[in-house]
Formats: sequence, C-alpha cells, structure tokens
Amino acid sequence: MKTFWLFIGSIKEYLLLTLLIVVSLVLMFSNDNTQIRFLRAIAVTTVGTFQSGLSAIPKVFDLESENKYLREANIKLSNEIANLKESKLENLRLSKLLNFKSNTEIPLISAKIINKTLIQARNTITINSGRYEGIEIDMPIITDDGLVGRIISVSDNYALGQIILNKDMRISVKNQRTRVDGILIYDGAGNLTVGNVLKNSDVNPGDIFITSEYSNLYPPGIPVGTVSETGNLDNLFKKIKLMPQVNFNLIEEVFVYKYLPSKERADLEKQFNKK
Amino acid sequence: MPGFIKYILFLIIALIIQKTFIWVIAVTNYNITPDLVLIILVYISIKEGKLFGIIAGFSSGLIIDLLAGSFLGLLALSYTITCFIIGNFKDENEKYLRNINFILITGLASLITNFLYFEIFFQSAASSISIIEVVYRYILPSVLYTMLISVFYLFKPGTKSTQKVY
Repeated sequence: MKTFWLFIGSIKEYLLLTLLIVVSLVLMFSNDNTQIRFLRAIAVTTVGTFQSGLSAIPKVFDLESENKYLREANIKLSNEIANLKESKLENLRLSKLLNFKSNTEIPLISAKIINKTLIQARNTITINSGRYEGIEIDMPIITDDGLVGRIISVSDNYALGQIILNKDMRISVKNQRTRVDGILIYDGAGNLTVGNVLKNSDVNPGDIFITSEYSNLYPPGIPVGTVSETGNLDNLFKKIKLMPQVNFNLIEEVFVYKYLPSKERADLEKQFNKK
Repeated sequence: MPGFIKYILFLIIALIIQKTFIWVIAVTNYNITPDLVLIILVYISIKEGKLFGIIAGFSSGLIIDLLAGSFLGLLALSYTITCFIIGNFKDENEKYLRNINFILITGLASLITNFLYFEIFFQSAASSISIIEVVYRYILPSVLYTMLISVFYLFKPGTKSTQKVY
C-alpha cells in the first residue's frame, strides 16, 4: 500500500494535469449548461459594471487611426455638403430660368454653357444644344437678366455663341428712360461702351440700355447694360461706359431666343446700301 | 508574506488589469493585447514547478473564461497545459528566471497557450479562417506583444542580467 502511495506521489503532477484537462473538457462541452450560464452572467455583470466606469479612457494606439478615419470622414462630409449646396444653387438658378421661360411668350430653347472665353478680344460661349433642338445661326442668346449674344455657328448638338463682349459685335441700343439711340461697342479690353450718342443727350449713370428696334439682329427691348460712367468723348459725342446686365463670370445656363432677323428687311437694306 | 499569497495577489492584480485596462494598449485591427496573467503564471511555474503551476494556470484560466463570456474551460485548458510544460524549467539556481531566458520562455508559453486557444476556438467555431491566418493575425502578434511586456520583469530588483549564478 505504501508503495502504491509512493507511486501515486511520484506521478501526482500527471494525475492532476489529467484531472484538470478532463474538467476543462467537461466544462467546454457543457457551455450551455444553465448553472454555468448563471455563473457567467454574474461574472460578466460584475466586470461589465467595473469596465463601464473606465470606458472614458482612450485607446492610445487607436487614436491615430481613429483621427485619420475621422479626418477622412470629415473631408467626405464636406464634399457632400459642397455638392448639396451646388445642387441647391443650381436648383434656384433653374427655377428662376423656368419662371422666366414660362412668362415669355416667344419660344425659348434652354441650354447649358459648356465652355466660355472671357479674357479675349473676341469672346464666345459654347452651349450644349444645337440644330436638333431648333437652333439656327443669328438667333439671339439671352438670360433672365438680359442679352448674352447671338449664335454664330451651329452643329447637330452644340452651338457657338458670340457674346456682347466681342470686338466684332455691333448692336443698336436705346436708352430705356430717354429713348436716346446708340451703338454698343466692345473695345476688346474689358470696356463696353455706347457710341454715336450726341454730347447734349440725356444719359445718366444708372440708365439702362436695351436693344433697339433699329437692330435687325435682335428683337427690341432686351436689357443690355447699365450706364456706369458718362463723359465727353470729344466736342460732338458722349463717352458712355456700360456695365453688362448679365454677369458673364457666373453665367451657366442660357436661352436661345427662337427669333430670326427678317430676311426681307435685310435684303432691302442691303440693296439700298449698294446704291 | 507567504509565497502563495503573494502569487494570488499578483494574479488578482494581473486579472483585474487584463479585464479592465488592457484594451487601452490593444494593437492591430484584431485588438491584440499582451497576456499579463500568463507572464505571472510563467514566473510561478518556473519558481514553484509543475504542480503549483497547473493549479494556478487552471484557476486563472477558469476565472478569465467566466469573465470572457465565451468558451468556458478553453483558456483553463490552455493555461494548464502551458504551465505544466513551463514547470519543467524549474531549476534550483532559477537561471530561467534571469536574463533573456525568462523572455524566451514567456514567448514559448505564449506560443503554446495561444496556439491551443485559437486553434481550438476557431476549429470549434467552424470558422473558415486557415491556420496560417490564425498564426499571422492572432498568435504571432500576441506572442511578440507578451514577450515585449515581459521585458519589464528584468527591471525587477534582483533580476539583473549581470547577477552571477553559483
């Protein structure tokens, strides 16, 4: 018997190891046991209460990646806000144009500007509507603010417009208030002027010039610009500077006026000028 | 203070830290943390031998299992086997408690524990994750992090690398 106990004593570590492994395995296989679940619930509740008080401590190694993630999210959200603002502004612009379109009896073709030049002597715009939409050469281009220019070239889906800030443009205009006539000229250096206005004519800063019925290219009454400066050019004529009604830097959408010059009138005037 | 009370105290402190503060220093996307309890168990197993080691290992593992809320008995099993193996390093001169030996044995213990734990865990969960992925994602980071933290043991008074062994 003594030998037996001595033997047991010599292998006690192995016996204990076997016992504990068996206990561990039994526990592993009885994980869904009600008593164990109850015991675990108590333990988890106790530790959970303790841990919740410590949840304010930041996880130092994660701060950098968390900051990076937040920065990225911030940029993403900022972009979304910018896009939403852009959509809102576009909506406002289009609503304004739609309102203008519905209040105008003459048919209009709406178009979006897809290219424009503003810093040259001969400035133009390209729009995304063309022959298929009914656009033809010489049709006026307008916005709800006023005159933009006229179509000078057209393809099936696009059209090129000559804007009033173009050296080749000559337009008969009229002072809306005093009905004084003149010719709108662009000097190629950013100045829009009204020429051929006599020195004693009644023109003051703030007056609006509109297209005149003398023009065969444009229908009368379209606002062109507001007088910003007046003076004497020489002993005979006034020097009048105009601020365009349309802000060409911000313009994005336009209408093409379905109006064509009278061919009969043009031919008649041409014949007379030849004589 | 009697030896075993000191060990129980250290284990309780390590358990509290392990279950409360340790996430503060968790690394990688898989929240790998060092195993502080295992470091204490390695010390106990080398110092006191297999018998004391497996009792301490089983008890600590069981408590953590209870608190973890997942596989009850899994960590108890892993710690028990690990402490039994590490208990073989018990030496009268305690040379394995000094210098880099302790860090290497801690690494070995962590390797055994994590291998047993994660292998049984993922196998039983019928996970599609391969053994290579288990080693790469969980076992190696855990082993290295535990070894790194065990370096602090060398700063314990009387554990200088220059200390002579007679």
